[in-house]
Amino acid sequence: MSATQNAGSSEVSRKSEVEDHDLVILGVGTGSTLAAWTFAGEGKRVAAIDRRYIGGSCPNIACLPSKNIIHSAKVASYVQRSKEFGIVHDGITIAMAGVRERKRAMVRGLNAVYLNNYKKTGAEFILGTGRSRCPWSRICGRTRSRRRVDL
Amino acid sequence: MESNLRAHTLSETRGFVKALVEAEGDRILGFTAFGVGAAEILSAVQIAMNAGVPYTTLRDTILTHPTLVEGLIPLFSSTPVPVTPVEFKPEAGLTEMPDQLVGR
Repeated sequence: MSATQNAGSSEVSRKSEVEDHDLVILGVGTGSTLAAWTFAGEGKRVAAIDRRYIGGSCPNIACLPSKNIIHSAKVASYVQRSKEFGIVHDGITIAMAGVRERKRAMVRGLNAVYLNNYKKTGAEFILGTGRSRCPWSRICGRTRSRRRVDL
Repeated sequence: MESNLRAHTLSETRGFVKALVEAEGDRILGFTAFGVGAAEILSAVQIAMNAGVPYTTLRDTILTHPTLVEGLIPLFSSTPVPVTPVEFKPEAGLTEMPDQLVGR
């Protein structure tokens, strides 16, 4: 990324922008998140690049936030049925801001857990975009390359 | 339970799961769960134990995501390597990796 910005500078500084990795992942979902942690945990030098989400869609906008909100709906349902369970109330209000905040707090917590796993395993998480300068098979997926990858 | 993603969606992360696995084999000898949905998680392991299913089956099964029982995967993935590892000797006439070594 910064190599492109410094394209006009001297050869020495250009070289210093090039980093060696055993594995570079572009677009980091659940599968590649685990791959990044696993390979980094085995001592490989790993860079995981995603333009927006730590851990991909699952913990941020898909599997987990949806179940979080569905659970709030379940609680609301229980409260509405509370008389069946012997619990009486004077009427309820569903504050969607509160529903959303519980979800957001969970996502923040998961992001912290994921970042901590990156730290623990030594994999590098890069928020940004990347592109391949050599054939995909050489730098992506589970294939490890000794070729230099310019980010 | 802190590492169970479904428990996070429920805001119920208090608790734990714990398994006892045979030292020189793959049998599950015991299992404890404390926390949300513990009874449901117990039943899955109970069926595996009664059927003599090795812990590796639970570890390697792709369970519905995100569920509480899915927490068995990280639990059984954290099982330490056996005290006495079985050596793979190709010269002994074995053509395949022994079952005990698969996945280790």
